[in-house]
Amino acid sequence: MEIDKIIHEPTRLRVMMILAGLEQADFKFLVTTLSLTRGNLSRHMEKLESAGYLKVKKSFKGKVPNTSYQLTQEGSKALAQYWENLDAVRRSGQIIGAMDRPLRC
Amino acid sequence: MNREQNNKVQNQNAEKLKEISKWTQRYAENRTLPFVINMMISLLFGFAVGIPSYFGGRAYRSGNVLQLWICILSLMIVFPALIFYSVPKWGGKYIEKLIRFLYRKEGQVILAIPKKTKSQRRAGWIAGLLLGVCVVISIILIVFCKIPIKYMQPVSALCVIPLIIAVGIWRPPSVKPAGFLVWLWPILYAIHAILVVAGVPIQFERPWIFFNILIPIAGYGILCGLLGHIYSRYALKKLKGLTHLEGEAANGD
Repeated sequence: MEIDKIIHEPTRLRVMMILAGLEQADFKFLVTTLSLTRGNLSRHMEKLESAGYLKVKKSFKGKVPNTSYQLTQEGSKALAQYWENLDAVRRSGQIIGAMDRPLRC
Repeated sequence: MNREQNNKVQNQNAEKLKEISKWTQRYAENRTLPFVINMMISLLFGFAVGIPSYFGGRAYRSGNVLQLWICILSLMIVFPALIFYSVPKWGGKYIEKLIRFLYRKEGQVILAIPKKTKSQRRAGWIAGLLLGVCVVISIILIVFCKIPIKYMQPVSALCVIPLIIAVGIWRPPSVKPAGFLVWLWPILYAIHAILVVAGVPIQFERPWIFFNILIPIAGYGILCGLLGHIYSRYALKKLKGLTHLEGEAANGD
């Protein structure tokens, strides 16, 4: 069972899950929700974009540049497949690196 | 942490992570500040048109020329402002700016509108049909049955409630997300109508009788919008809790 390493990284998984619930979200929303630095998030977004999981939309809101992200169909499929595979791995009782830290909530 | 504990934590975390999309959606659905602002502005315009119209009419009948001119001048200012506010290219642009300013710390999100199922489409058609029937009934009640003015709110409920429900089910793209206020708002308006019919004294007397429809529509709308906004704060808090890992080194590698 192959786990998608691009999605499996904790921050990228969260980005994908946020975008799965929306039509699109802008960079500001992702930065504040995930409490990351801009540079950090940019690197993650580049990886997801180069994998074809995200679509980037650059625009201007008034005079301010705005970058929005949207999950592609490929991204949605990859995310669904990821959870399927992960659940199968969990059922088999293996340890999964990205899931072994307790969540704050 | 031993293997068994590790597996338990993994399972719990995986289940919580799966909830991220749900809470993101709930947050986005309940970003109701645009709705609250539009409702408040509509209420202000309601007052700005209703008050000078009423007192202008009274001044005309009593022959008070000065008061009449003040009312006419007020309306001459209010009507262009109302047109400016109603045109998306003019006033809408400023409202959009204001909304962006209010959400500047959180960023912008656009909610995905899920494709409607067959039963949802059918429900939408039924609500639309019901709206048509209710409009006809309310016209018959007003024209032929000479309903007293104090029952105008219950009669208006016949149109307002199916309209809100139909809009909530159809959710045209121009309608901003409204969360649960789409359902709570008509319920409150219906309760108000029932109380009026039951004779509970919750109505304005003359000369403020024209507020009997305006205030419940806008008031319950604003109340529901504020409740939605409070819920969006909760959803955001929950979402932030779900998206944070303790001691995570999120470096992009």
